[in-house]
Amino acid sequence: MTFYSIAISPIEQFLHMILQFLYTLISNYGFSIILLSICVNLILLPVYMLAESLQSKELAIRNLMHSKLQEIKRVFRGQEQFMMTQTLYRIHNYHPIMGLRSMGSLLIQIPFFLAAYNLLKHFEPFAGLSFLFISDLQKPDALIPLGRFTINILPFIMTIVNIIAAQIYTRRKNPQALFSTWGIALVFLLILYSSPSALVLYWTCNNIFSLLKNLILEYRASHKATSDLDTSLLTKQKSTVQLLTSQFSQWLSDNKKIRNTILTLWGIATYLLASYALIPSNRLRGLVPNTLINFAGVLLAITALILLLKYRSVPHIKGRSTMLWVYGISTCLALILLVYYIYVPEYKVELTIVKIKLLSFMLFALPNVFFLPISIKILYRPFTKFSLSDNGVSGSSIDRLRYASARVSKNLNPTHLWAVIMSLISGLILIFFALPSQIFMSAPIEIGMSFSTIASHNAPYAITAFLALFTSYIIAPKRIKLFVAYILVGATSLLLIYALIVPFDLGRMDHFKLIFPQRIVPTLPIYFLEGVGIILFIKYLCTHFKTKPIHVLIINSVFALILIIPLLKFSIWGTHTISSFNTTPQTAYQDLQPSSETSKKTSNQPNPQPHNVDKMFSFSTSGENIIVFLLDMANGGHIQRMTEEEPDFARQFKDFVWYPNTLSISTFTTPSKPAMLAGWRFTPEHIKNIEGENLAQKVIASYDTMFSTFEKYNYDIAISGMLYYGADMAQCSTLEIRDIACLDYWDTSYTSYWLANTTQNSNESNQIAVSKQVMIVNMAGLLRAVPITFKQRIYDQGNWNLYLSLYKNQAGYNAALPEWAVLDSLDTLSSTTKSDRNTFKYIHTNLTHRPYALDKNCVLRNDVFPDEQAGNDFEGDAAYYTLRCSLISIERWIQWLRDNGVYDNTKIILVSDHGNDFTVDPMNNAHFAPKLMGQEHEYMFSRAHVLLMVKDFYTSTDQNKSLQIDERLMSNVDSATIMYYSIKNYQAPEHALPQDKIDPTKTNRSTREIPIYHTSFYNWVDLVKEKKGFKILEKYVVKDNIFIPSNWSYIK
Amino acid sequence: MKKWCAYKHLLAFVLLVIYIQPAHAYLDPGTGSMLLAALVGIVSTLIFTLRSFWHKIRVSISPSSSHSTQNTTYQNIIFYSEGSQYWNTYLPVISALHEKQVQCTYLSSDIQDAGLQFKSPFVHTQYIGKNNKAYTYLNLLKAQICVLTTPNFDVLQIRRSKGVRHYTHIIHAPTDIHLYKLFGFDFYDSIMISGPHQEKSIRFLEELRQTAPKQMYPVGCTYMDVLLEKKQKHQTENANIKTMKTQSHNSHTILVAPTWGESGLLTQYGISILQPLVDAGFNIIVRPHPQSVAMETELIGNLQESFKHTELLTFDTTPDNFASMTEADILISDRSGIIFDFCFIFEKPVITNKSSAILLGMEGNDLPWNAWELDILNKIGATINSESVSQIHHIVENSLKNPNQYKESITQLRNQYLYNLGSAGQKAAEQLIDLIT
Repeated sequence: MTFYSIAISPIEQFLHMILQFLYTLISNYGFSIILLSICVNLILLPVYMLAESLQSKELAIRNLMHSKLQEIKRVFRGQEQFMMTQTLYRIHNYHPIMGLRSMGSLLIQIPFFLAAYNLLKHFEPFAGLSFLFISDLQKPDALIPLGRFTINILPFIMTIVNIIAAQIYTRRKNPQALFSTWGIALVFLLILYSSPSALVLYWTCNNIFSLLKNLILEYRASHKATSDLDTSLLTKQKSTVQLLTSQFSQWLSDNKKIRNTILTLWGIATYLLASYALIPSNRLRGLVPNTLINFAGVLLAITALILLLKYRSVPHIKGRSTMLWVYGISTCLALILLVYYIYVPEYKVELTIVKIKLLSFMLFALPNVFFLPISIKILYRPFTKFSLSDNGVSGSSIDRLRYASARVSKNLNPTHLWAVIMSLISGLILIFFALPSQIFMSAPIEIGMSFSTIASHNAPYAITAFLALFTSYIIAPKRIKLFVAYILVGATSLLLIYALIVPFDLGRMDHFKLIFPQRIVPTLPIYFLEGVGIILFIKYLCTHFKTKPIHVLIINSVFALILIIPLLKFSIWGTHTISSFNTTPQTAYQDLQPSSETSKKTSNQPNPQPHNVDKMFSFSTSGENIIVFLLDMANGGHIQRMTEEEPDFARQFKDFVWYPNTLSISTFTTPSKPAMLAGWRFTPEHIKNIEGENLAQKVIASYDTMFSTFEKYNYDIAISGMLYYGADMAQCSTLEIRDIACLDYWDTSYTSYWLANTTQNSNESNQIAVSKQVMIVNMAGLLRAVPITFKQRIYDQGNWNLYLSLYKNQAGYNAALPEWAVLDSLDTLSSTTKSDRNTFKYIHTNLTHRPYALDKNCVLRNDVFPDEQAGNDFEGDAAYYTLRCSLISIERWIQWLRDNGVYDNTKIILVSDHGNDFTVDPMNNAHFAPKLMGQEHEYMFSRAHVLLMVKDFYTSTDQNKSLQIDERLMSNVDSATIMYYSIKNYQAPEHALPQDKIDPTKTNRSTREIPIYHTSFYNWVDLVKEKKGFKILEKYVVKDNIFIPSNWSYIK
Repeated sequence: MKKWCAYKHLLAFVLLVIYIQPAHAYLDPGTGSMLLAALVGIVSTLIFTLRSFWHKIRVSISPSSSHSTQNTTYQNIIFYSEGSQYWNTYLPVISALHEKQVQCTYLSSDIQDAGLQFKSPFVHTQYIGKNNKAYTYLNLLKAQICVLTTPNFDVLQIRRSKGVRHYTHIIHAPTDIHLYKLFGFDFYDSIMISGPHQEKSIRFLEELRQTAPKQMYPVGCTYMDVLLEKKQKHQTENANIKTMKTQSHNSHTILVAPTWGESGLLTQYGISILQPLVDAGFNIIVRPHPQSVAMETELIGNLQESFKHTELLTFDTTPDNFASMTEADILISDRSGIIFDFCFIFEKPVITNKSSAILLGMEGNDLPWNAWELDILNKIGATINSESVSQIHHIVENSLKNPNQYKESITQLRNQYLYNLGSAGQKAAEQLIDLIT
């Protein structure tokens, strides 16, 4: 873990999110960069001003001490001089280390600079984008051609701005520093001269901001004295309006109840409007009647007016006129947009995204602007402080100030402080550790990395967030400190309550996709009641917090404990073993992230051979080879489309028999696979008769049956993929003891190998993929903790809104990368052996399972969904593309088999465990839906229709053959029997069921009836918990032809 | 140091350029100068820290650091004296404690200190060595109360020991605090003052420097108790001799007791102030400041040479000035501490030289008013300056014409600005007992 990954990358991610958010707002990267610069500077402004005021304070102290120091230097010598100086410092509460205080902001700024630099230096979406006079944001502007050379103009503009800003700054503060600031400006010119113009643009904007800031400070510093006089005059001549407003404000302050009611109403209105504006989909818009929004708008307007009046008459808030202007304009703008949005008819029909988002943004920005005390105090306090320390030294008070100490009264109420700390701790543990751990426990294999990886990846984020939030509390001025505490405590309490107390069933998640996404769409009553409830809760909490912070402290400490204790089970740091899975089998997961050892190897050898490759992919030339590809979720109907759209397909697969009339045994992988490995005794219905303490063990027994059978006939066995259904990584090593080659897709050596050997997709390192995967885990966790109305902000239509738009399909990409890495390099990984021993390989790939990431051209995409026309990865042709790409890889590998003379003695079975219910089955001419999974899935039939293709031994004699079609009724369980009957001299065991004792390819189809079961969805945890067998929800028996509805009979 | 100042910006810039890695250089002008400030801060912090560290090391490894184990009894009250000259300040206090049978310890850094010979079952005395040895001893002291005459406590070498509950300073002059070294009293817990003018000045500095408020005990000048007692004793013993003396010399005796350094009377006027007096036939005792004897040998030598043939002028360099003061009818001085001993105890007039002292590095530099003693000089006698110095014999004659001319104002002044004359030691002892109970 490098310093960068701890300190900088969270900020880089943050900047990235802002940039992407801005881009979704205005769809222009150039302006987004400018806005990014403004945002970053605004965020840093309070800190900067604080540092500035600290610096001025330090300067002021130094100035105060100056004459005395000179006196000491003149009068005293040696040790005495030193001691006197020390005492002078002591009396002024000064320590030379205070010179470092101003570095605080530098320490905060530098990471932001580093992050921005790293983000913008190689930001791919900039490539080729032009902006104003810049032709390519990713290259220097090269505006003036000079023969063979070009001169970049932007860096010079940047430097000029920089120097002007420096001039103003140093003139005001420290004339001696002029030289060095010029030097720094020149250094920047040198460094950034040939950088991408995006970066220079960002930096220029920073400098412009800096210039404006310095101008304002300059102005304030020079006008402070006169304005002091002016205000004293002005206060005497109060106008009637001012008198009235001040009386009103007084009345408001006296009537606490009225004030509180107004604030509550304001809160509700803001919440309703903000949540309304923030929900990404149109669903809520259709849901919420305009009257409610109007009502909220009116409430907002009224409360805004009242608060406006109140704050107009508060004299102690400096710079209030500026803020009131900003506030007034933004409120008006937001309200106008709101009205426009509601009443202009065409907007109801066709909403341009930009305007809607702009509206949302305004409304979102509104609360921030609205909370005047905070904004003003945070943003402007240092201004006023600064001007005070600059000009406050005058006249008669000089003697007092000579020794006036820099003592800052510490106004921290310790209980409040601790309550805030505990709230932050419990909230951050929740977000970054507890919720991800829940997600991890429910589906470790889908996450594909150990919890230690997730935790160690999240730790810097948690720490950064803690420091940032805690600092915001600490540096908040006294007047609003309590308010900041309210926000922090309120937000964390809400998260905790939603995550731990509010009973809301999100439903299952399958590969990071919600199975019932419609559940997170709130209904109108929920939307409304939740809004009111939250505001009232926060109000209650605030009152309580103010009077009895100890309660908040205790409750949050309890929460933190509740959250931490289960986490300890993971023994986060150090071991990969998860004790909560300490049932049989021992479950442990290797990190996707390459260990330092592996990465060392990678750097030394350009093309590292993955470990285990000989055993995994070697084929016997003299013996026989059996290979089974389980293509998870592959739809049988897609083969029809393949034969129609790809003329080569039928020829390449000429030795295969395709069974189009194949039915799945169940609707999910977990119930299907045992039977596919070990035959009919292991169907969802029969598995309960298998011995084993729990369902997990029974599932494992199916693997054991397969292994022992092939061991009995002296086969070299290799197995890969989806191992958690019996053979996890820990068992991979036990399998290796049994001399069974074992490959988990999370073995990064394959991914590294593939990334090193392929030109496409190599732009993303594994490490980045890991961080994005962790982000998805975090998002999935956070989904539980946010209010229902906001859940769609996190997850919307199959999309985790973590990068808002740039990495729409990161989840799909992360899932597909390691699988595709193996499948795409099958031909290069495979080898032949002269050994007489027969080989058996069972390769389960999840590539063909959603979420999909391979596009039409078999390129992995994380930026868009593979089918760019589709709104999400469930829609469109993505499933087809992925299957096609997989088959193309297999095709290429078959060619390798032919070239190396191991084709004829190899039997190949392609099978899937269930179909895909998000695709219209091309073969479902009757358009019938057996409604297996209730009403929730339209395309049920395609889920039942699975892929089965078999290439037998020694069939390549006929050159003109084409793909053969065998329409007999088959089940994907038959793949087990086919596989077993491929063994030379195979004898079915005594206890086998009758179906297991016949090769199904020779079965008379008219006599056959095949069952299909619909069960609950099972995660690993469920398997361990379940003692008997799968819970069967529905059962059908199908005869003859699965495409005819009347052949399906429902069994109770 | 000045050179360093001149080059520090250049150095900072060079450092900056060296440390800037191409990929890591993002500074805006504000940040740049912050970085500069930070660098300067770091460097000065480093120097400062190293220096204080070095100082600590030096103290701790100095050969005398292995001090003898402290006597655990007698630790209620500990007195520390830098030298024998302070014994008179402590004597009345310790005597009073002795009478009250309160145990205490007297520590001294002067092996010749008469206080070390003080015999009492209640008073433990100890020589603790000089300089670093003494400082180390004191800085690790254990006591309820520690009484010091040394100013600049917790500023210079004597630091606050964690084992001491209360540090009190006993002021050993009736004058204002202007001539004390900078930060003379700031870190004491309490001060035993001799007059209200001292409180006024100390309170002002307290306010100015925002240091913790100190207790002020109106105690008085303890050493004056000794002087007073001595005088009374001397008067009764030598009543006859004195009369004879006055008869035999039909002339008055003048004591010239200047301070040392540039503002010293002799340094300023030299022979020109003494010659008129000798010519006028006065008996003159010149009592140069001990520091003058040690440092200004040339000046003193010249004077002795000039007046070696005159019997009227004698030099007194004995440690005790009591005899000279008893003998003299009038004192000519500048700012020496002897002024108030002379006028408050002997109630005789003092002719003072008006000179403006340079207050750099002294407490007076932070005080917006003149030292109290400067304002009251004309109440205790005539004043001279460089113009009137040639008329000094007339001034003396005038002053002596009416011996009671100043007596009244001196007594008035004494009543107003000197607490507890004659019972200051008693008062101090009571205060200390009060503090430990």
